[in-house]
Amino acid sequence: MTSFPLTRRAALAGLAAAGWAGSANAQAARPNIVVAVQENPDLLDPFLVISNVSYRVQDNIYDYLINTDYLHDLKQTPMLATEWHRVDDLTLEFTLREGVKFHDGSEMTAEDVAFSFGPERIMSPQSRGYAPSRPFLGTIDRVEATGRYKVRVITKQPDPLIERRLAGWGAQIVSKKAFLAAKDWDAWGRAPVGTGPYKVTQLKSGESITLTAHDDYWAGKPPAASVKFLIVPEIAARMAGLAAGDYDLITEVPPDQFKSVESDPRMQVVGGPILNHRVLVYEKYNPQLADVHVRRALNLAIDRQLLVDTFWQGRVTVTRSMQLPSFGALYNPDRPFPAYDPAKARAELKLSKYDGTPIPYRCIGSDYYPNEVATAQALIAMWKDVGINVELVLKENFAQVYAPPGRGIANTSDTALYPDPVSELWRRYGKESTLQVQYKYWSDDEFNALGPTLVSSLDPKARYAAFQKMLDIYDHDDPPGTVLFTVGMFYAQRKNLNWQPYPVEHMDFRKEAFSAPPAPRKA
Amino acid sequence: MDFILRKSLRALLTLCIVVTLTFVVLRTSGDPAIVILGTDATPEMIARFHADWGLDQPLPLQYVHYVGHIVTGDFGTSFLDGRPALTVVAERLPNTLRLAGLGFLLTLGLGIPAGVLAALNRGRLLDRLVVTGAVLGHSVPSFFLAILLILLLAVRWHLLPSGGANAPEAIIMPALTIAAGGMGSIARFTRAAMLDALRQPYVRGVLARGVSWPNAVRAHVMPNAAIPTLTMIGFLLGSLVAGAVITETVFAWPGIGRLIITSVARRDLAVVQCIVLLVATTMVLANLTVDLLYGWLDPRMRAPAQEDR
Repeated sequence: MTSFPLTRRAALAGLAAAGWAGSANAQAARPNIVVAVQENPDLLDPFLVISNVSYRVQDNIYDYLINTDYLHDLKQTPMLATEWHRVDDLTLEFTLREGVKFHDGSEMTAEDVAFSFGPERIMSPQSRGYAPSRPFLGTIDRVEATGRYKVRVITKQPDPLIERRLAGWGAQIVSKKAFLAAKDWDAWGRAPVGTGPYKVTQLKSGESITLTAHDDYWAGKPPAASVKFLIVPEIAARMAGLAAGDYDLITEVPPDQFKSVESDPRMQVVGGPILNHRVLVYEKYNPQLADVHVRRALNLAIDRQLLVDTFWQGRVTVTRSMQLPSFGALYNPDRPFPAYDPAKARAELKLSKYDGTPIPYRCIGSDYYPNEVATAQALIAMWKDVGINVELVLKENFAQVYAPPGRGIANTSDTALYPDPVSELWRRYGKESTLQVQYKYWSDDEFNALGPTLVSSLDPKARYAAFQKMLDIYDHDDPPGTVLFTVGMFYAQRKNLNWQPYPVEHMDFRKEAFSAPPAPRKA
Repeated sequence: MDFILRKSLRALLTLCIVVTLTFVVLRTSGDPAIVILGTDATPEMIARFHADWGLDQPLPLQYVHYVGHIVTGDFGTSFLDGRPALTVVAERLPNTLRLAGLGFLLTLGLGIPAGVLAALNRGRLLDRLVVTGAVLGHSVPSFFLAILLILLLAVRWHLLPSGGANAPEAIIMPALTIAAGGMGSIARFTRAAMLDALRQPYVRGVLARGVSWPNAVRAHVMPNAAIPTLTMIGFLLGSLVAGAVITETVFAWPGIGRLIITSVARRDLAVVQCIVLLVATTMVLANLTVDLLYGWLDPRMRAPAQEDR
C-alpha cells in the first residue's frame, strides 16, 4: 500500500479537486486565478488612473469598438463594432454588434457608445475626463448615434489614426445608465460597468481587485471563473508565494531573478519587450547641455548592448532610434542603430565648449525602473570614459526629478499607446507634450513644424518622410534625449498555466490569451 | 491632578507639533498632482487637480483650513480614490490591531517569563540560551526573518499561506516576525531589571526575616523590576501601529504600515496626515499611560507631586 504525507493543504487541495472532478458542468471547471502584483490602481476608470497598473487590469473589464490583436502584429479586428468604414476625411461610420450585454445585464447600444465619448465623459471641459482624454482622443469633434446600432465618429481634422485611437486607451465603452447612476466619478471608478469578459466584484483599496466572469460576454464564457489581482509588494514574497502554490502568476519579475524562477521545474518566466522605450531626457536649457555637441557626445558614449546584456540578460532589445517594427509603413528597417563610438564622442566633445562642469543626472532612488540606479551608474562610468562629468542626484519622485533648478539628465520611458509614432515620439516630445509645455525641457522649431504632417496627413509617404526627419532631429540634429533599449515586462507563472503575455502592459484573460484550466484552487 | 493635567498638556503640544511638521514637509517635497497624475499629466489636469483639492491656495491658508477641519473631526479626502481619509485608515486599522495585538501578546507572554527565568538562573545554560536567543531576535532584520519563515513554512512545508490576510492562519508568520524583535528587547530588559532588583539589600533583608525565596521573588523582586520593564513596554506599545511597516509589506498584510508607505510615496496627503496623527496619538497615549501606571506601581512617584501643591 502506498502511503503519502497528508498535510492540511494537500487535504484541502484534494477536497477541491474532488469537487472539481465531480462536477459535470464546464463552469465549475473554470479556475480561479490569483495574480500577485506589485501595485493596483485605486480606481478603475481609464481617465482616473492612467498608469501601467491601470493598463494591466482594465482591459478585462472593458471592450473597445475595434480590437487590437496583440498576438498577431497588432492587427485591428472587430470587437463591439462588426464593421466600420470612412464616409469622408472626417467621418468614420460604425455598425455595432447586436446583443452585447453590459455587466448589469442591459444591452449596449449606440447611445452608450455616443455617451462614452460625450460631454458627461470627455467632451465638456467641466468633466473630469476632459483633460486626461485630450492626448488620446483630442482629435474627435463628436460622436453621434445615428441608429440603435449605428454610430458616426467625426474628427476635427483629418486623422489617419482615428481607428487606432478608437482601439486604444480612453476609448473603452461604458454603460450610460450605470455611469449616470453613480454618485460621482470616484464612486463610478470603484464599481464601473463595462462589456468586458470580467466584472468588478470587489475592490479592496491597497489590497486586491477581484474580477469574476461575465457569463453573458458576447464572445462566449470567459475562460476563468475569477481573476484576483492581489498586491504583494515584495518580489521575494511574490516568488515564494508562486513556489508555494498560493499564486498562479506573478508580475514584475526582475531579470536577476530569472535564474531562480527557472531553477524550479514547475515555473517559467514569460514576457519580453513591450511597446515602450526606456530613454534618457536632456534638459536643453541646462548650461552644459545647451551645447548640442555635448548631447551628441553623451549619446555616442553609451554602449547600449552592454546595458541590455548586463541588466536584462539580453532579453530586451536595442532599437533603430525611437521606432518599432509594429509601426508598419512608417518603420524604416534600414535606419542605423544608435552608434556606440567613444572616439567620435571625444571628437564631438572637442567641438563643444564643455569645461568639465558636472552635469546633474536625477534618478528615483528607489528604482522606479528596474535597475534604475545601477544603470545610471554604468552610464556615468561610460560618460566619464569620454570625458563628461555626470553627477548622480537621487530623488524620491518625478515631481522632484522635474522641478527646476538643477535639472540636467533624467530617466523616463516612452510608451507607444498604439503602433504609430504619433502615440510615442509626438505625444512625448511634440509641441503639446508635457516635456515642452509643462516641464519646458526641450523645444525645436523644425521638429514642431513637422508635427502636423505626421498627425493629420492622410498620405503615408508624407508621414513617413516627416517621421524620419523627426528622428534625425531626435538622434542627431537637436537631441532631446536618447533611447536606451525597449522596456521588458516579465512574469513568472506555473508551467501548466496557459497564459500568454502581450507586448504591452495589459494582462488579458480573454480566451485569446488564456486557455486550458489549470489545477483548481479554493476560491 | 496637576500631574495628569501637566502630562496631558504636554501630550497635546506634541500632537500639534507633529501635525504641523507633517503638513509642511509633505507639501514642500513634490507636487502631489504630478506624483498622483503622472508625468504625462497635462497642465490643465494639474491645474484642475490643484483647484479641486485647494492646493492652489497659499500654504498658511491651507494649514488653517486643514486644522479647522481636524478639530471638527474631518480628516480630509483621499486624493487617490475620493473616500474620506478616516474611512481609508479605519478600513485598515483592524488588520493592524489584530496583528500588532497578537505580536504584542507574544512579545510579553514569551519575553517577560524568559527574562525572569534567565535572571533567576544567572550564568547557567538556560540564561545563556535566553540571552543568545534575545540577541538573535533583536538583531535579525525582520525582512530576513520574514523571508526565512516564508521559505520554510510556506514554500518547503506548505503549512501556512505565504502572505495576505484571507486565511485565519495567515496571521501566524507576521505576528511571529513582529514579536521576535520585541521579545528579544523585553527579555533582555526584564533580565537586567530582575538582576538589579535581586542585588538590592532589601532582598537579603526579606530573606533574613524568613520569607521564602519564591515569595521574596514574587512579592518583592518582581514588582521592583516591573518599573523599568514598563518603560520598555510603553515604547513597544507606542511603536506597534507604525512598527509593522516592513512585516506588513513582506507578508502582503493589508494594514496601516503598508498604507503609510504607499500614501507617503504617492503624496496622498490627507491619508498620511490621518495616519501620522493616529500613530502620534498612540505613542503619546502609551507614554501617558505608562506615566500614570508608574504612579500606581510606585507610590513614591506620586508623593512629590502632592508635596508641590
